[in-house]
Amino acid sequence: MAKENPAKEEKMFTIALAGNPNAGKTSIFNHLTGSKQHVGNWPGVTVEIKEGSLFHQGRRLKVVDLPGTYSLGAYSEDEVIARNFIVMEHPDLVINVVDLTNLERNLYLTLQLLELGLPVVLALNMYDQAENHGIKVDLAKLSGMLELPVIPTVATRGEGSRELIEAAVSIRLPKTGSFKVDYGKEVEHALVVLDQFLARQAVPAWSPGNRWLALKLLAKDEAVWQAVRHMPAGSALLKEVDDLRGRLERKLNDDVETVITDRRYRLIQEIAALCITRKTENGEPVSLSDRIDAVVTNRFLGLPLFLLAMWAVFQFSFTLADPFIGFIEGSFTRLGEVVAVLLAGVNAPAVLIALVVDGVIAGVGSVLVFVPNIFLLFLAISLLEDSGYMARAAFIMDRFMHGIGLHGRSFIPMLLGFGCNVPAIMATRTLDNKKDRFLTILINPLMSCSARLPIYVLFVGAFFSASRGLIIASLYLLGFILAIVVGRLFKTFLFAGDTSPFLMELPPYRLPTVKSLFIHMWDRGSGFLRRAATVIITASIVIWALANLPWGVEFASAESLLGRIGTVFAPLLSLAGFGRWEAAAALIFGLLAKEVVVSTLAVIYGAAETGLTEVIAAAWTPLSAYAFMVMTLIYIPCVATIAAIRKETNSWGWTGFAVGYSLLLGWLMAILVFQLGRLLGFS
Amino acid sequence: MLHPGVAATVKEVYGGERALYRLTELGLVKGAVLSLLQNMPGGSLIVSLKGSRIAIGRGLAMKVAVEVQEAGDSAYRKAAL
Repeated sequence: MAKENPAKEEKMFTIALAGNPNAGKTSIFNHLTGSKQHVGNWPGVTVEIKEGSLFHQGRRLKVVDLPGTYSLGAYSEDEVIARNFIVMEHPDLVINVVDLTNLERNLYLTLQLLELGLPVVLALNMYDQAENHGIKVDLAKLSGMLELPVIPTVATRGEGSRELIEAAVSIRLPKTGSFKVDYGKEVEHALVVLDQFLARQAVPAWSPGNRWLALKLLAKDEAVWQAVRHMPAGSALLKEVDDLRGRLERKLNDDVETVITDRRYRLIQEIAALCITRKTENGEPVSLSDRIDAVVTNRFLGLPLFLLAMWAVFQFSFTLADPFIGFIEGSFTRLGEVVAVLLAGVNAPAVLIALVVDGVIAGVGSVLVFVPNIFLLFLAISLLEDSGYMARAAFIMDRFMHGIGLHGRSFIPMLLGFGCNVPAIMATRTLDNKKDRFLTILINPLMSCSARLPIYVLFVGAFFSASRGLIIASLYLLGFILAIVVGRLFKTFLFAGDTSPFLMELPPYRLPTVKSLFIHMWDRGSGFLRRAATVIITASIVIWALANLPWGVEFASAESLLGRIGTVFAPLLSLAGFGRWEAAAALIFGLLAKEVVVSTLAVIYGAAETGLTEVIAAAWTPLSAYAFMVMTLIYIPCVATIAAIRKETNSWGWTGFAVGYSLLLGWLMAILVFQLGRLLGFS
Repeated sequence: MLHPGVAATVKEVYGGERALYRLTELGLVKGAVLSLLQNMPGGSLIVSLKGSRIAIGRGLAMKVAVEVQEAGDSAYRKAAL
C-alpha cells in the first residue's frame, strides 16, 4: 500500500493506541511517552490527534493516541477519526487496550481491528482489578484464539508498558486478513460473491482488503458506500450489493447488520467461555463504585450533590488562588520598575522603556495574574473528568438537557466550556447526531470560559468586593441560562426534530493519579500561557503603539489612534451604559482573546499612578461595570473559538451565525441590564 | 418498567439503526442479562450489564423489551426496560 511513495518508506515506526473509552488508553499513552507528547497534525485526517515518541533500543518509535471508541463504525466524528487513521495512515501496529474487567464488550472493538488486517498487540489492562474481582484469564489460550500477543498491564502504575513495547517491536507481520470471523454460511457466501466482484475492480488504494470492503458494503457502512460510489464500476457494484442484501435478509429473516454483530458476539462469547474463569459466578459483588453511585446518582440526592460539586469547583479555584494573585501582581509591578531602571541604565530611549514597561509588562502582567485561578479551575475540571464524575453529571442533567432537545451527553461539552470553549467544542465529536452536535457547538461560547474570569475579577474588585462571589456566580449562571434559552430557540427553529437517544457508559470511579491530573491540567491550561506569550504580547504592543500614534499625541487619549477607533464604536454602546472609547477599544481587541479586554484596559489606564482597579473604580459606575461584564460574557467568541467552530462545523455559514447571534445577544443583554438597572434605581 | 435490583434478559431491541448500533457496541444485545440500578424520575436509567454501568435515556429504554424470571415462579414477565 502506497509503497511507491518514498516519503512513506522512511516514516518512523508508528504505533496506534486504540481502545474503548475509559479502558486506560491515555494512562498507557502517558506512561509510554512521558512528557514527550504533542498534538500531531496528520494530513489525511485533518484533525488533531495526540502523538508522542519514545526510544527503544536506540530506535525512535512514534505513538499515536486515537480517540476512545467502542467500535469502528462511521457514525460519530470520533469513530471516523480513529478508523480513518488506521485505514489511511496504516500505522505499523495497533496496541489495543482492553479493560479486562469487562473483556467481552472490549473484544468487540478488537475483532474489528483484527479484521482490518493490521498487526495488533492486546494490552489486558486493569489486570490487578480483574484479579480482585476473581477474574482469571488463560493468556496463552486467548493469544492463540485471537492470533496476537497478549500482555497484562496495570496502566495506572505503568506495569506492562515495557513488555508492550517489546511485543510491539518484535511482532511478526501476519498475513493480511488471516484473522476471520465466521459470519455463517449465507453471509460468507455473499462475501465470496462480492470478493470475486471486487477482485476484478480497481479497488481504492487504501482498502485494507477485499473481505473487509465486502463486509462493510454488506453492512451498509455509509463512508465505505460513499467511497465505492466514486469507483469506476461503483454504481454497478452497489446495485449488486443491494441485491445481495435483499436476498440475504429474506433468507435470514433478519437484517444483515444484526446477523453480523450477532456472529461477532457469539465468537466473543466462545472466546470468553474458553479463556476466562470467574470465581463469583452468582452475581458480582457490590463494588465501592456502585456504593458511591447509590448516593451520587440517587433520584433525590443526585441534583443537589451535583450543584454542591459545582460550587466546590469554583470555591476551590477562587479561594486557593487568592493568595497568589496579590503576589503575582506585586511581582509584575516590581519587574516593571526593575526593567525600567535597567533599561535607563543602558541609555535606552524613553519610548522603548515605555513600550516594555507600560505596554508589554503591564499588558501581559494584568493577564498572567490569573494563571493560578485558571490552572486550579482546570485542575478541578480534570478531577471531575478523570474520577468518572463527569459521566454522572451527564446522567443527572439528562432530564434538563431534554428541555432544549439535547440529551445528557451534550452537557459534558457545556461543563468543559467553563474551562475553555475550544476543547469543549472539540469534545462534541462524541455526539452521533449532526444536529445535536451543531446545536451543542453553537451554544457553547455562552458558557463562561476561564479567560473571561480576569474581566470579572477586575470589575468585581473595583465595585463589588463585598459580594464578589455572588456577582461572579450570577454571570456564570446567566451564561448557562442563556445557553438553555438560546438552545431551545435554535432547536425549535433551526434544528427541529426528535431528540436523539441518550446512551453512555458510566466508568467506575477512579482515584486519578496526581501525575495524570497534572498532565491533564497542563494540557488544557498551557494554552493560556501560550496565548500570553504570543497573542497578548503582540496585542499589548499593538495597543500601546495605537495609544501613542499619531506621533506627539498624549498617551492613550481620545486623540490617539486607539482613542479614535474606540470613539467610532462608542456611541453604539452608550445605551448599555459604557459608551466610552476605552470600553469600545477593549471590546474590539477582546476578540483576539477575552483576557485581552483586561490587558487593553491595563495599557490604556496604565499611565495612571494608581492601580488599574482604582482607576476603573473612579471612572466607571457599578451598573455600567455589570453591564460591561454581561457584554464580555456574551458578545463574541474569541478567535480561537471561532476557528474551532469553523473546523468542527466545516461551515463558514454556521461560524458567521455563531458570531452574529452572540454579538447581537450580548449587545441587547447589556442594554437590557443597564436600562433595567436604571429603572430599579441602580447607578 | 423494571424494579431496581431485578435482573432481566433482553428479548428484543426496537429502535433506529443508529440506536441499535450504539446499544450493540455496548453489549446491550438480544440475550444479554442486565439489571436496573437507578431510575431518575422523568430522566434516564442506569443498568448494570456484564460488569459495566450504562446510562440509558428513558425513551430508548422503552424500546428494550426484557423478560424477568420472577422469584420462586417459573412464569416470565415481559416488560420494557
